[in-house]
Amino acid sequence: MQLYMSQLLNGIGLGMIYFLVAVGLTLVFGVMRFVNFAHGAFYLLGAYGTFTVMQVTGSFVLAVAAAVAAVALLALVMERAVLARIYALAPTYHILATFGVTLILEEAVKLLWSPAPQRVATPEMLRGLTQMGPFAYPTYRLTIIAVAALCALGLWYLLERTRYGALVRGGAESREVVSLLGIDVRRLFTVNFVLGAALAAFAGALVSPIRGADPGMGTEALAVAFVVCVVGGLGSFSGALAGALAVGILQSLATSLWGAGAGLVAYIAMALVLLVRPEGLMPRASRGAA
Amino acid sequence: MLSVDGIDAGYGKSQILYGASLKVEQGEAVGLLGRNGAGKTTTLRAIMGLLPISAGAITCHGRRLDGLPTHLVARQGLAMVPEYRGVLAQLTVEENLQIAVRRGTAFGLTDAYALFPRLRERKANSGATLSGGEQQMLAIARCLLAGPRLIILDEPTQGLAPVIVDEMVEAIQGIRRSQQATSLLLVEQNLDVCLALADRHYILEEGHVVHAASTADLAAAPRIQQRYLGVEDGAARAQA
Ligand SMILES: Nc1ncnc2c1ncn2[C@@H]1O[C@H](COP(=O)(O)OP(=O)(O)OP(=O)(O)O)[C@@H](O)[C@H]1O
Ligand SMILES: [Mg+2]
Repeated sequence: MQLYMSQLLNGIGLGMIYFLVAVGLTLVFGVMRFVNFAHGAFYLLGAYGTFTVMQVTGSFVLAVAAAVAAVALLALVMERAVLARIYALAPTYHILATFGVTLILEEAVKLLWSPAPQRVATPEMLRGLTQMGPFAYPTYRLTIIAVAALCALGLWYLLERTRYGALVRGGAESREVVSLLGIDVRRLFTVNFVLGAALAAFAGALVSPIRGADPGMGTEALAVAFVVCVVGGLGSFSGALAGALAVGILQSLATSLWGAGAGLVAYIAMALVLLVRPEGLMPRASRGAA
Repeated sequence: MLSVDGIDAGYGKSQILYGASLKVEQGEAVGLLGRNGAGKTTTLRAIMGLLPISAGAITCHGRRLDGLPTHLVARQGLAMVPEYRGVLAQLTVEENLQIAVRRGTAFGLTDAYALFPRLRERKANSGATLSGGEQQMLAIARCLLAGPRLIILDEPTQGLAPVIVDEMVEAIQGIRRSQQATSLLLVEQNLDVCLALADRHYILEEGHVVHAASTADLAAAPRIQQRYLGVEDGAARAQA
């Protein structure tokens, strides 16, 4: 029982991290119909940024904040300098260009740091276990769940209850209509892109004390984020949350049942969803009615 | 205020507009008539920067509009309700209005609801649930929120039941009375609606203006109506 409980919580934590990565992908795809293969690199840099700033300053909170801010700035430059030139081209070019950016960033990470994995220390205050009745669970992992849940709540509020959110949803439905109202859709997209990148970096930063930082982690996270988007329905916020939790929990439970196959579980789930509900668990259209 | 001078435009290789020209003065209501496919919608889309022009010029208060992206054309004070109305289904009625609210304009959300009380009743509903008439109300109210100097309506009564058409005409007349400095450019297939709302009219055929007339002159010219608009003569219309 203790084992399953702990695997379930692990799964929720993992799922929340996946959510933070996938939601950016979904936001960007929703408005611009743009698939960003460089999204995993933001997660990667979030982890490495945290590693380095933590080494220099010793403060985890400062490290996370600095890493997220640096990645947001990088995303801003990348969007303006690279993506703005290729939006009008066919999706093939989007994939090529953003995949190219990923390769460059991954190699840069290997050069600047090292190809070997780095360890990030768990912040002092959050070490150890938290006792919940008869059941004990690592404090840092609980913190991740709480922080990511707060983040999800904030995002939900932003997207569903503010003018900015209405513009994002409206822009996803019709760029023409929104631009006829005098709104610069290009700027809206830049903001969205930077927000998505910052969330991915935040996920990488949060997860770094658990899994460390290594050059392959971005690609790995991107693959799962795609699975999450397909399972949840690409372009849907609630779909990203549901899909991420489903994939995280499945993966985590599978680890204890069938260790070797845990990595496969997500893909099997995706194949099943595609067979039964090709539009995803919670496609975008259903959101307006909800 | 708005001046369209000899514009050419089209879609890819097929040219639709051949030197189309028209003018709208401040406070004036101008109708743009013409058969299906004459290029009315294309003209409006070119004005709003949704379609590039390959010749001619579009100016507003002396400032060039052609070449500007759509949102900047809109910020020059032009607000268009497109033929498809453009109600966003992912948004509630209120959100559809909120995204158009601009600071410093006299017309706000309460004015929008006062103009069309039906919208207040439905403010929490998704845009997808509105009837055709309600969609048109929402689209018109939304374009007023930007405080435009020129309102452009593309067939506001298309597909509406006759009672609703009358309601819509009255609402637009009401807007004209309360915002006398605001100009109106109206595309209509329904000649009666156009005559009721506009002071002057242009008739478009095969991508250029073939006739211009005041409301009184056009109303008294059944030949012109028949020739360019395919309207039967006045007597037959009265009987129908
Ligand atoms: N997106 C498009 N691509 C190619 N051709 C188009 C497109 N939109 C319109 N056309 C063509 O351009 C011509 C003019 O169309 P337009 O929509 O301007 O006509 P209209 O006067 O508004 O007619 P209606 O009264 O039917 O709305 C038509 O022949 C139409 O088939
Ligand atoms: Mg038309």
